[in-house]
Amino acid sequence: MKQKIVVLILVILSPLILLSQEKESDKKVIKGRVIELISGGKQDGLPGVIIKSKISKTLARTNVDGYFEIKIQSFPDTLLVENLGFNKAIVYVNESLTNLIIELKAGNQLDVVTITGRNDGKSIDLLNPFHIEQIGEGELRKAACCNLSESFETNASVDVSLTDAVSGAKKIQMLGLDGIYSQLQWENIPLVRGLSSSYGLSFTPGTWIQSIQITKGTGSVVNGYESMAGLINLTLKNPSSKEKFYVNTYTSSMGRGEINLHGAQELKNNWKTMSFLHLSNNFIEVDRNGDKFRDVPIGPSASFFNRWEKTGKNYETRFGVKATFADKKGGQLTSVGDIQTPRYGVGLYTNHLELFSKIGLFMKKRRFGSIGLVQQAKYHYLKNTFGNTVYEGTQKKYYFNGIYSDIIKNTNHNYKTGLSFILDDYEQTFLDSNFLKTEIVPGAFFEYTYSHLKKFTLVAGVRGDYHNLHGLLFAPRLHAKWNLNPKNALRFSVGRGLRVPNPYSDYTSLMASSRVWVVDPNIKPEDAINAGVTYTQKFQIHDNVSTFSVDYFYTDFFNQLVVDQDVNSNEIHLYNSNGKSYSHSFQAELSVSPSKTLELRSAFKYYDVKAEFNGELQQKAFVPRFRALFNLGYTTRNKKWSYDLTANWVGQKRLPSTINNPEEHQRPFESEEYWLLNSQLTYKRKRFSVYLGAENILNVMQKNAIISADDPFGSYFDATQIWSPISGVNIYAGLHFTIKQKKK
Amino acid sequence: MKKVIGIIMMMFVFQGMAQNLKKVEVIEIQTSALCGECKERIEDKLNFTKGVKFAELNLENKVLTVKYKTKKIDAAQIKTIISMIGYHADDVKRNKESFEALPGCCRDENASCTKK
Repeated sequence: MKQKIVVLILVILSPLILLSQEKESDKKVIKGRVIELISGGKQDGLPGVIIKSKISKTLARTNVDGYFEIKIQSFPDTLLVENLGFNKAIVYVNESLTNLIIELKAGNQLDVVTITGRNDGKSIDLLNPFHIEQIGEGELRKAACCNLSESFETNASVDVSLTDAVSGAKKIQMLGLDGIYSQLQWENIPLVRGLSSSYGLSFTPGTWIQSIQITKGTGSVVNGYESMAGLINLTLKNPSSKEKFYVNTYTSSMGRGEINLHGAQELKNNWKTMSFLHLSNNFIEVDRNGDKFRDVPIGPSASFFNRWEKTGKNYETRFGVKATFADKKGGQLTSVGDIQTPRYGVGLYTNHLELFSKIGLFMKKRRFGSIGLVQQAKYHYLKNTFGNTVYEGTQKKYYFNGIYSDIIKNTNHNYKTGLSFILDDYEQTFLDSNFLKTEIVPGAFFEYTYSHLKKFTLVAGVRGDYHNLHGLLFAPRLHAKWNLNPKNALRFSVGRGLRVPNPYSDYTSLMASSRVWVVDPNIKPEDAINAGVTYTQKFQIHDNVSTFSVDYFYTDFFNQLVVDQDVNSNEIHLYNSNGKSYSHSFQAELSVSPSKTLELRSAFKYYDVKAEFNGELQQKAFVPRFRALFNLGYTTRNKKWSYDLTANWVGQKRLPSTINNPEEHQRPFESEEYWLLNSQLTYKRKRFSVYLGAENILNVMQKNAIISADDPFGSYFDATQIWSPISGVNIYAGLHFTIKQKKK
Repeated sequence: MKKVIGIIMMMFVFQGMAQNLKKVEVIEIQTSALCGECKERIEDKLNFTKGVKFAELNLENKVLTVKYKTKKIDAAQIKTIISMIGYHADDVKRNKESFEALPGCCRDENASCTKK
């Protein structure tokens, strides 16, 4: 009986067994590992190597540790193993092989190294000598509103805060230093500089941005002498991006409405063009904190951008035009004010026109030689009114940068050298004083890059500029990177940064007070040395890459334009720092994907930013010593729904002394810590997506944000003492509609 | 003893039924995708195809995981869709015309891809 049962079971099971056998014979799996021999007889798995089978025509790629699995139809077959920078391997395989070990030798043939990772939100490239954080489209979509300053809200390296209580504008900080110490550019063309440095971030609509590259510390000398705390480069959408037509709308409970239109076209003879239009308006007066001041100014703003591209055989060219108009009106509510007590008005009027061109030429005889020519001409006019204080300015600018890059003997030795020229013509009026200034700065630079395989890279750069008002500005810089293994990178950078300040435009937002400006007439260039160390480690949880990075940067100013609000609460002093001014910044960041759908990020920051204020070495006002950031991103596996939650914890900040004020206008010496919570939900269809979000969910509001708000023309009025949001929750919604380009 | 045989038989019957009732299946397909651009093209197309719950391409080994409703679509149809985008899908060869219409970085693995 027992035998019968066994037979019966076997008979029942047999089709299954046969089936599975058939499947097995259908596809054979070859497992193996691709390695590279490194010094001392050690082996190192090579990730991302492509393995092709010749007869079965199947493909496979090695994982992070060099292991691979390839399915083939039948034995024997031939495997082709290729990896950039290594010699090809051809492996003949038959049944007897079980575990293949393929050794690749580093070869001399090196094409341009292309790196393809897989993170589409935020990523750090391990191979670049500069520690560059990339904010991609995925990350940018997490904050739907509105302009460049908001794009950094889910990023730990750049801090965003309100500039003052009346303009609604936001400013950025890196390493605890004001945004003016970070050089901002778009596609290597200067972006926010000169007169636009206070409110310029709001003139780049968020939807125009394709990606943002953030470098901490001094950047490459090719881009100029100005980066001290960091270098931020934007890549704007271009005709080669996939958008053919795009519409975005946005409305918020703060009374803001916005529409963005993009259109791209491919023309004959490789010409491509793309146009962008941004229109926005704040329609309604909002006063959530009840101080009878508009929390955000009302009024329209419009931006237009048109760019052209042509790619020929040995050249490529890009040029275009950008224009911005804004007419914002803030200050007290319309209902306030009569003949005896006039209304305090704030006007922010801007006109901006910019032409740019870029030409790239490839040398026919020298395979790696190329010339890049960048030109920009711009006109910027602003008129900012804060009550009776009027600041008016015009800036005319011409910028040229010519770069030649080539190799020395082989691609292990690269260099870039070139000339630059900047002409800045300023005409400014502040109250009754007139300031005329013309800056002419010709410069030259040389940067040498040495790379040893992919493991070690050194970039040594030097540049000299001759400033017509301040003489020679000399900036040497050094960057180095080691990969101890393919999953980590250790970077080191040191360099000098210089900057010629423009007190009125750099600190325009501080005019929103009754403080008297006391400006040293003999302002010298700001001059700092910055040094930093960064360590990045990647690791895997299941199949998902996680990153841990930690960095420390030190900036020491030889000279800084100190903005001192501590001398007297009725005055603001701007002078050359005679004593110490420095910043220690420490950041640790962990980014984990516990599953394919979930991404978690947390960051912790410590800033020790000190300078002599009112003759006493103390923490810079409004810079918190501690900050933390948490971000949770969830996307369903079909990517139709995505949810995002960002929490920012901001520690206590030192506030400028208000001891001289009468008691009711005095403020504490330190601000309160607070949490800022933002969240957004997006639903995506093939062509459109809708989003709904909320900012400042916990409804954090600084109480009595404006000092002496009821007497704006009195001597105690001050709307610049802002350390937290001043208006509560903001709920917004909108949609994106995209028609993609069919061909590239 | 007959009872035992009966139970075993029943188990197989139930298993068979369960398999018939199973409406959702997951398959893995080896594709010839190369870069982030390819990933986006394949995922975007399949994620908005009726019957597909999700499609996810692993760029490390180019294996596409698809979860789908068996009533609405089958594995062969999914592979045909992939071939029509321009990629090999296991044994189904790519459509030549679609492949030639793909951008450079999806045809040549040495070309650089802007999508990382």
